[in-house]
Amino acid sequence: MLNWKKSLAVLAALLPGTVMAADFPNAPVTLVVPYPPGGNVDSAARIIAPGLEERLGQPIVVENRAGAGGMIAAEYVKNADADGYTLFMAANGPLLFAPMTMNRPDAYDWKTDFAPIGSVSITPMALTVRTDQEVSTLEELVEKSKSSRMLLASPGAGTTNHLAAEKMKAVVGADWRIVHYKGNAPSIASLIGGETAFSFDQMSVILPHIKDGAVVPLAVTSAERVAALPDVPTLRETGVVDFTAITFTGLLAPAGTPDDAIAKISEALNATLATDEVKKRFEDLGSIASPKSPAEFTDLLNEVDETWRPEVEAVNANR
Amino acid sequence: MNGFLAIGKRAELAFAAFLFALGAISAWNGWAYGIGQWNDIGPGAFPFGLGVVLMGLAALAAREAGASGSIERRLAPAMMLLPGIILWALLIEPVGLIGATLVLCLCYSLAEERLNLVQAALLALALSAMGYVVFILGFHLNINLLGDLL
Amino acid sequence: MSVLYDLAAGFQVALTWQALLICFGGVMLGTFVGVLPGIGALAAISLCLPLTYYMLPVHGLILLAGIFYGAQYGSSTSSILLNIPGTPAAAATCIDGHPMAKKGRAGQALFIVTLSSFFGGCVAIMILVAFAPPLARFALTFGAPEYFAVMLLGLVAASTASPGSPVKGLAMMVLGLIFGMVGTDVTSGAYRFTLGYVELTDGINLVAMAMGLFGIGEVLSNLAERETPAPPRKGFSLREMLPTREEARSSVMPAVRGSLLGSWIGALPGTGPSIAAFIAYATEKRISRTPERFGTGAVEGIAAPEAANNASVQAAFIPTLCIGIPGDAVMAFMLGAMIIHGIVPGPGLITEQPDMFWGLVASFWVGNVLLLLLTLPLIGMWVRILSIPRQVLYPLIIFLICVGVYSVNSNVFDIFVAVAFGLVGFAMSLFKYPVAPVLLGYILGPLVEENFRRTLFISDGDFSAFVSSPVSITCLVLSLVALVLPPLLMLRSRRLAAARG
Repeated sequence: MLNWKKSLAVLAALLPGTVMAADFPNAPVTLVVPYPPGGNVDSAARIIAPGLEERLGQPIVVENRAGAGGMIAAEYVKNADADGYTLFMAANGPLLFAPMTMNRPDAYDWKTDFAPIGSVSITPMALTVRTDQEVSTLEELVEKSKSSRMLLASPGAGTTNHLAAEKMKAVVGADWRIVHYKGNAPSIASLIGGETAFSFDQMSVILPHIKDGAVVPLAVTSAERVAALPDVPTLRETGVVDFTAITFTGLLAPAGTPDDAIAKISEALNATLATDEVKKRFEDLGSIASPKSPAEFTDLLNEVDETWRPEVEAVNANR
Repeated sequence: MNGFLAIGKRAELAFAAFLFALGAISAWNGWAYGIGQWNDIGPGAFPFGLGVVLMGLAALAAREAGASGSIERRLAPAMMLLPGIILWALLIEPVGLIGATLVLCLCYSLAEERLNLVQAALLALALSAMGYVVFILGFHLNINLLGDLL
Repeated sequence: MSVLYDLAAGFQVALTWQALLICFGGVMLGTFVGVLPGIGALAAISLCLPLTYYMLPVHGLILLAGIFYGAQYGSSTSSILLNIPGTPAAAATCIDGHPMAKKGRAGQALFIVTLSSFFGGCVAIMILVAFAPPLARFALTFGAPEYFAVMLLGLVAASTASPGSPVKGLAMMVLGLIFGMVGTDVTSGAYRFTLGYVELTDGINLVAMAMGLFGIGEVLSNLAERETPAPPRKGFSLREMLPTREEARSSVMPAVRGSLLGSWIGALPGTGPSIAAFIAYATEKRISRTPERFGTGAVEGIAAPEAANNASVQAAFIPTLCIGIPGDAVMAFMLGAMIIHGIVPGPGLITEQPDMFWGLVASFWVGNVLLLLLTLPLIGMWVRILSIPRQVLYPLIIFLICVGVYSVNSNVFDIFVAVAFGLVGFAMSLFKYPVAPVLLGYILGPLVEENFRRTLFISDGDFSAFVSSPVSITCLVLSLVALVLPPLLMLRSRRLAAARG
């Protein structure tokens, strides 16, 4: 005997159009990552996946759709069904600035095409200088860089690291030569190896070298001090410049996703981020688990957007 | 379907001309990207230089054209297989693995006298089944059997 | 002696039955994805990452590392049998491996590459054990001028490494260099040759390009030919596949040189197994007394690149583990995996996590032995691929290429790129333009350009920066010699002939 009720339920589950928001979620949820496996954003998605799986009761699929500065993933999610099953694991560039830097300003606008769910992690940077430069404070660095030609390592044109350097360079009025590398690894290798003198780097990648004594941290770029480096002042505290520069990761759904689906994911996400295990994992990554409500996340996005849009526009080589 | 074409000097000259054109495009665009100066070489310097070199080499290669005599090749298979791959790419997301592979194999069978349409369809099913086991169950690749049809 | 003590402790970790089982699973899976054209180690590693959450960190790393070096063993199989590299790192092996298969010596070729890979792995592991920290520190002293000089040497040495017309080979290399410029310029952030496609801002996808040029191009040109004579079929017993004494002897020194080159290139951050394999191949052809045999099935031409690419993947762990700086995309992923497990690679790793470090290193050895034991008996099975009728084999290959290329970024655009390169590759084979130099130019070109420009940017336009270190001077002089010597020798022999005539 066929259980017709059950068969109908299965059929209903198979048809996306019939999925009732009240049942959300009753199918796997996909987190679309705009980078290849292995980086900060990908790791963040993989760290929260088990917790979300447990709380939403559905498998979480991490899908890497790398390319075009994150635009490919963003457009994929923008065009996906607004049912809460396809989410964008966003970060600064892919969400806010890629349409501008890729010369396709109408591709998407985060304010109208996406519905923020919550931030996942915040990664501060540290401004470090190689130990043999005999500089121990930001003021000394600025002094030294005014009297001699100093090289700053950047992991690529248009990265948050590069933008922070450009912004600071403009404020202090020094002639820093910014040398671009292809990613964090060669950029840090040049710093440690002696080709360049100082750089802004994500805490995750530079912390081992700070501990090793190869570089000296002068400041951190977050609003508050970082637990791993309690004695290092924030950029604002140094009084030299007045800005913060962080990279965030966060979840967004396509605009038009039902509110209760967003509320459910938000709840599961924030509960996941509050567990000690997840907090510890982000700490190991040099990041901070950062639970936020959709409204708070929107505020963060607005702040980052306003601070950095002019800088991104200024350094954009492809206008 | 079995038409063999003699491919000789003229075709090879055309390919050398194609390389020459690629070199010219590279040099032209390189100039536009900006050559820069010695202490800050622009993004166009290498494309410009390489484009010029490729133009020269293509011209030299053109002189070798036809050296190995004319060969006989049939181009029909190529012309059938490439659309098959393009169709596979266009169909994999909306229709899924089975449909896309079916079209691919049917296109291939048009180019291959040893494979009739029925055999091609069976082969497509076998490949899809293997693809399902290895790539979807095994590697969790982002591919569906039936795509967005479901 | 403390190294031996540490290593013994490492083997205690690597020889537990769980570790053995995990290592076995990793290398099996690696070999498998290596053999499949288009599917690389990265796909399998990202698949297995979630599994490692439930293991001890060291076991997780043993698994992921096993996939990585296992793939190097597998990738030469399809190079030799089908003239389609399983991963781009095995492209150099096609040049002489496939001609060997055509002569009916596929079994011997597979035998030699397996032993060479094993040998390369062992040499690199020994170097890793003995010199990892100092080598990592030395690699760090490599700045832009040194990178430029080394990469230029590789390019110059390889420029005439392909068989056939030197002009056509050079033209193809320059074409590859131009393809390498596509995408975002690292130094300025400007987009070049993107034709308005955002997909091209990251450059041409390496897998799509390699699978198009080699895979689709090969299938097309085979389909276009008249009936090709099938390679002679022989018995598939292990005995009949043993290389001759002559073959064995002439592959020893290439394997030694390939291993050393591969270990060194692998230890440099920013390089990878493909570069190591090409440079090793080019070196062999350069120093050979009979360079004309290359391209027709010379065993030196498969032993060296395979020893080099396997050595380089083992050596790639040196910068990753000792300074926390990954050499390529797969290593970056390994680094990410370690960090997720709460292990932060860096200068302190060996002292803080000795069990981890030495256990992993010992597992490399275990894994290489397992691979040897696993691969040799399978050679007979692989060779049977050649007897699959082409109406089944070609659709299978095209299907695997489609899935593999698509899976890299889940983007159909890459398949279109592969089709375009398939067409170009087909035309190239019609007119006898060699394929491998395109790939080589594509891989080395961006490094040469980037480091040339960076050197002058850092030195503020002062050219003496290029000759500021012994490494760069040596490499530049060697490049010059490699450029100038062959034409001079040719001139001399012509004059001698003229004098005699």
